[in-house]
Amino acid sequence: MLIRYIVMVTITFGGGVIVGGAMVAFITILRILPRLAQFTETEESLKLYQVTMIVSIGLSIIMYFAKFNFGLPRLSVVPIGFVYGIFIGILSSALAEVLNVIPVISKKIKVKKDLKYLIWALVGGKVMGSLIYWIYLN
Amino acid sequence: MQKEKLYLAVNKKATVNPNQKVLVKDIGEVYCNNQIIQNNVENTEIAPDHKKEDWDYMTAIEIGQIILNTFPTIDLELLGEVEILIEFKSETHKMALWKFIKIAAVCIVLFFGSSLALINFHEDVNSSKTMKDLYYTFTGERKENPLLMVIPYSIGIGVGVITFFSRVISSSLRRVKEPGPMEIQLYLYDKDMEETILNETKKH
Repeated sequence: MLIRYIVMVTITFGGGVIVGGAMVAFITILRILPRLAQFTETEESLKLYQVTMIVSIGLSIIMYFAKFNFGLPRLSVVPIGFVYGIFIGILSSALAEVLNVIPVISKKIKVKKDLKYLIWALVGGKVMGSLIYWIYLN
Repeated sequence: MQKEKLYLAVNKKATVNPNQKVLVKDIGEVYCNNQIIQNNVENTEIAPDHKKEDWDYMTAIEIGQIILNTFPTIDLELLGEVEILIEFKSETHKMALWKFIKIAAVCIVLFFGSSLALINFHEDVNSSKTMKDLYYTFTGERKENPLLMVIPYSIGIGVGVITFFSRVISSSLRRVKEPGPMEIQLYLYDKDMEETILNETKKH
């Protein structure tokens, strides 16, 4: 019986280590933290940002497996949803960036100074896609 | 007689009109104490006109040889790159309408494409269940479609994309001049492409 527990704990712990490492590695290749630090000119707090993410991942796991609720007022989800959206927006554009889509397109049609129009098209498309999904498709 | 010292700094890449001869001043910078020699060297032809758009490359040694053959009395000092990529590119006539159509087409593709990609992403990771669960976690209320949470979420996605791509909005010129990740990618892509072309032209 004891051996069974030890084996199970070992296996799941190993799985957790891999998943956690993969998550952080994914965030790292997307270079989200460096971009945010560079954007706000707070490179010196990079350590703090990392700790924040580690704590957040740990807490979110507890939140995911334990069924409890904070019982906050209903309007409190407005800022929470907004903040979630900012992160997902950064994540999805970082993902596209890694795939090198925009440089190839803009090279093909030779636009360099008009890159900002492409960015606005991306922004509009993403927001519209999200709204369509949540309002009509869901 | 003492030889006149002449410095030639060769650039990494030069862009030349295909209908013009390639001159020394097109491919780098020349400096000499004697202004007349400097001007003469600058206007020395190092390659004939190429007639059509193409890529070519030259080594700094070849350029130095041509200069020394024409001006044997100078003491030439080569600085900068060891080889140079020459791009023969005619000045394009800017067609504003055509350019507008191209940009508009790319914008349309990106607009609809990115919205589809985002819908796919949400569908893929089953975010409607996640959002319902999170809504419950925060408010303790079960709701089929928590619009109150997901509409700000959608707007937040736009803010996130802008944060990632755009230049910093600031009154400081130094901050505004910092390029966004997309501009850096574009530059790196250009650089890699030029290196590849140089490598390929060398083989022929």
